[in-house]
Amino acid sequence: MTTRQRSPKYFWLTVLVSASLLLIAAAAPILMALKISPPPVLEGDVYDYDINSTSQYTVFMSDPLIDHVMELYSVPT
Amino acid sequence: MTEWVGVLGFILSPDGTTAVYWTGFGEDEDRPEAIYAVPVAGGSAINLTGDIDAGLYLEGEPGIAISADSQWLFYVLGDGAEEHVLYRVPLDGSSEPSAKSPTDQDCREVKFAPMPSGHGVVYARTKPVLAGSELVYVDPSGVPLTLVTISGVFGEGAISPDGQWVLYIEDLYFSGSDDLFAVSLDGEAPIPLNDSLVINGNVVNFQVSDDSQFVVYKADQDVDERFEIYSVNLTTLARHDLIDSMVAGGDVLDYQLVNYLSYAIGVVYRADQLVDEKIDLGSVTINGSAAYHLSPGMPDTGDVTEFEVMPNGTGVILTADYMDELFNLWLTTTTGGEPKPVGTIKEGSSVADWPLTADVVDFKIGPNSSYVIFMANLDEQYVTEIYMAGNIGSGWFYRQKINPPMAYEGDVDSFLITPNSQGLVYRADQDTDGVWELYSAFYRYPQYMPILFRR
Repeated sequence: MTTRQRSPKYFWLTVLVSASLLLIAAAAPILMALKISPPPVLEGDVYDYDINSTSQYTVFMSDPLIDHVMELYSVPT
Repeated sequence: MTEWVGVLGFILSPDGTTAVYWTGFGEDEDRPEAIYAVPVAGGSAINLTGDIDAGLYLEGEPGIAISADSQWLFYVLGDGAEEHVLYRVPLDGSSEPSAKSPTDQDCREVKFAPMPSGHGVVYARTKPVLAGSELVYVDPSGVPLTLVTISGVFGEGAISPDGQWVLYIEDLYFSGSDDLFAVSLDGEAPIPLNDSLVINGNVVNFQVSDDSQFVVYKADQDVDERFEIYSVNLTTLARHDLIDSMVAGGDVLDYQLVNYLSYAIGVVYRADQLVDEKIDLGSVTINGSAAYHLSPGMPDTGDVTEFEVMPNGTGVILTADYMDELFNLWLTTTTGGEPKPVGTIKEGSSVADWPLTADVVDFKIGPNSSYVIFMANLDEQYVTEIYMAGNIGSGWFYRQKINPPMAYEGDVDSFLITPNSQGLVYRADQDTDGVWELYSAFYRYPQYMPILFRR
């Protein structure tokens, strides 16, 4: 009966993958909030907004450049 | 009123690729100068309409909508008097708008609904008294077929999800009652759906099931001014009174069909069914064979103020004041049992800590039915923030706050959940009081993820 020796590189790859999996388990996903609308001018606001059906984009009306001059924007959600 | 310039409103195409917006100037957001289409991912806008005559408004219900196949735009322009016309224009701007309803000066209102697939449309055209209002189907090639003509007006209407039926409430000029009908798109005679109504009785609204098999309607069918709900099978026309008994003075307030695996199985409703003026939650099977009390144990001073059936049809989230005037969230199944509190325990804690001054302002259930997002003033009495509770490991009892600390006097104002259930977008003056900005919140992995797994 012969015994096959594993190359050291497989050992280290196994260690790396195992460590990564342990980190994934420890790093449970957290809910993080990020600002997605552009910084507004003084008194600028976001008004109506909607998410597209693929969930990839948020479309919104805002007056970020000139107060009360409404423009339409999309941003990756 | 503040006058706006520029974009007055917008809608998104069902496939998510295109935004349609209208521009104008002034106080009235329904007075468009032109309507445009632009890719959501960015690009050049196409003027679909050219300059729209001054004095015309986007009118009727819904006023403007995109076809189910995202290829065409429908909109109604009206003068606020007796000229209302439904137009259709391709979203790629390859041809000019064309009128799909008559352009005469003889129409007080046009209401329409795009077909649930393709780009056909159904509209109801209300004419002056005695002129005869019309319900018309326009097929994808633009050919109209008049389905019904009545001496009266069309009330609420809908197309069944399978596109086989148009359902509508008709209010005849010379009748004291509003009745519910279904008409097929082949132009056959309409079918009455409600039983005969008591004198002065009316069908006030209705809902169609996802499988297009049932219509549930609310009406004072049996006793004038006592509103109950009824179901009717669209195939067999078998009708069922869904409210077995009702206290004197009681009414059904609102209701929602329960669909399970795309089949209609029942109805959840709010009613002061057991004690007059005490609003309870109940459910009933779609044929009325079994009924359940969904808010047992609530004192007579309590009320169920809102509810939403989970998209998967298994549960209901409700707001109620089991303790007088303290409105918080509860979870129950659609077949009864004691409601369980939702989000009453702060994440990381082990005891309930819902303050006596806190109320739920708004809530929405995730499309995958696994969580609820809600706004409440939980951590500070006069600050509305946004939270999540759900069946994600820790149970529905626990809540997680989504927004970071707010600016002084900041609040969360509104939110939307993404259709894929993976996140949400909310509007808040989070960073500067009175400056309303958008924030998105998604599940993201923290920064100490191994770089091996970063994109």
